[in-house]
Amino acid sequence: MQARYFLLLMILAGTTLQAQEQPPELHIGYFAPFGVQIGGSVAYTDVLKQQIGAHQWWWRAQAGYFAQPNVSDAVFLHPEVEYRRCRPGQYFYASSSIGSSLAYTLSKQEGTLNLASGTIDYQKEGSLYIIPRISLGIGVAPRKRLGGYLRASYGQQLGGDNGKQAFFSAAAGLAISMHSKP
Amino acid sequence: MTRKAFIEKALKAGIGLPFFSSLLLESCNRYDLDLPDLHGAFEGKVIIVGAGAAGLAAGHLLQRYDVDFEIIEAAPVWGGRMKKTTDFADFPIDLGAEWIHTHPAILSDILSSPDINADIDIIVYNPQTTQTWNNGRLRDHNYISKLYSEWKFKHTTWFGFFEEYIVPGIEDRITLNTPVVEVDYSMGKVQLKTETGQVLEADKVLLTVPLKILQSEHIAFVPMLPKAKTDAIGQVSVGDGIKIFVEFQDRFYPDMLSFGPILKAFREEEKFVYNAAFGKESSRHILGLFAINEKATAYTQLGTDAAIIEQFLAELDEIFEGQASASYVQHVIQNWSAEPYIQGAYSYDFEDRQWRVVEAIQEPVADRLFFAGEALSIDHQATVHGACASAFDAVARMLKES
Ligand SMILES: Cc1cc2nc3c(=O)[nH]c(=O)nc-3n(C[C@H](O)[C@H](O)[C@H](O)COP(=O)(O)OP(=O)(O)OC[C@H]3O[C@@H](n4cnc5c(N)ncnc54)[C@H](O)[C@@H]3O)c2cc1C
Repeated sequence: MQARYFLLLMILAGTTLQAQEQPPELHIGYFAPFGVQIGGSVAYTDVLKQQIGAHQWWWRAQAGYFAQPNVSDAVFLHPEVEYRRCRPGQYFYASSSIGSSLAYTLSKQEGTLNLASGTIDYQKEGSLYIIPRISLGIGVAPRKRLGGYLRASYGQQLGGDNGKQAFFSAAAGLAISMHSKP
Repeated sequence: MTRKAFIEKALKAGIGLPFFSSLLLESCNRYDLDLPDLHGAFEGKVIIVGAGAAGLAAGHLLQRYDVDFEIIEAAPVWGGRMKKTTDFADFPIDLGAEWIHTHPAILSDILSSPDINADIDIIVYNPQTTQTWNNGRLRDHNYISKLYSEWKFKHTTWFGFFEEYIVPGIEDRITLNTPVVEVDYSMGKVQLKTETGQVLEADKVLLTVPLKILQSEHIAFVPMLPKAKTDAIGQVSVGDGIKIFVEFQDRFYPDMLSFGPILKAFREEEKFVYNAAFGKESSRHILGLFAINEKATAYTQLGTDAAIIEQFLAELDEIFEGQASASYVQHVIQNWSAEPYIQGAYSYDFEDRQWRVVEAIQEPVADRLFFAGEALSIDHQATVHGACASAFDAVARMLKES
């Protein structure tokens, strides 16, 4: 049974080159790890394998920033592969993706408060993490120029002093078509 | 909004873990405590009853405005629910207020001394390891570090902050060991009777005693306080409060341990165990227990310190498989319910809308009696800076209405 599905997938994959070109997308959006942290990301997304209709494989290179207010600032790079499923001819899709972030975090550990001005001079410590994560989402592919996406991710933060930590995030943003469709 | 209501609202709004998000939200926003703008000079004398955070902050402010004042304190020490011990560990330990529950710039607001040439070291309190003890299982919730942070003092304490920057300027105005037992405002001046029968006179009186003291009618008022006020005072619930610090030879506990399912544990915010040496320059392993309300009563009802520590170590042994007793060195217990002039933790819940209750308690009586204290800060209830804010507010009312 599984072999049959696999064969079907291979056939579909084989016919992708004849399918209609999907233009790459630029994703710009809000990125909120743990629901309460704040950040943003920008990503270049392109078709990995052109597919007929329902099944599409994309890859994405994402860069972003997020902050835990008063505690840390982080930048990350996140390559991932995305599978999209949509009805033929429709722009709405559901997606799942897998990738791994490389994140650099600058954390405030302690500080010196000036009692006259109330300003704090913080001492910061940097650390590097890897965060493999999977995401589930929905989106609307750009019809002409603009679409959008909504994604939730779960993963594990590896590295740093405290070993493994769960990581979850939500992201929402705009998908901008890099070429206008013919 | 009460601490409890805020926490519940945060949960319903799905902000995340309510305890943490309440702290996170508070700590995100810088809270400014502005010195009141006062008009005209007040020539009379003010007596402040109680030398806790509110009483001391009020004195600091009255000093600034050149008002003649005196602070009368029942206990042998000033500080109230701010208290420290310096001989337990290699860093001073807060036996009462410990965390800075808002942006630390509040410390400079409390001082309001733009010419002061001093710095204070603070810790970004962001526990990295969190566990829960629920149904006999210890679980990791280290992701909590991403949701919660606030601040602590690095080398000093809340008590130490007042000791260094507030009290030296007003020390000669503080009289200790002098419980006030009666406030007579039936005449032009207010007369205060102390436990020893001494009578003190003032034009205006600022009462900053804990609500439990007013609820237990430890102080008699002549004439009696208006019914609306006594009703409001009775509508605030203040439960038991206890802190225990234990030194161990080894570190076997996380930065933070809470009890019950994680959402419930942090919603109630009534009991947790923590690494008290977090971020401190210390080579010792000091664990702290914070408990209020029924969670505290479970210990305070045991009566003796020996019974309390036995119970606490047995609990830790169950969680950490006997490591607590095996590694125990020494302990210190601060039972706030047993302090005769405190009698509990802090205001926790209000039977009516918080603002309505607070306004009724704050309302000056006969333009001569004024009220301040932790319970009377709407936005920062149950904190040191909230107590200071309520004192600033009361002083503003007092001097504006003169
Ligand atoms: C266990 C515990 C942990 C806490 N943790 C924190 C924290 O981490 N951060 C934070 O910001 N806050 C914390 N708080 C709350 C904080 O300690 C209080 O909000 C604040 O210190 C209260 O100040 P206050 O001036 O209103 O009252 P108090 O400090 O109680 O001062 C009132 C004073 O009145 C005196 N008095 C009473 N009766 C009489 C009388 N008859 N005559 C004369 N004097 C009298 C008392 O002795 C006392 O000194 C904690 C409190 C507790 C109990």
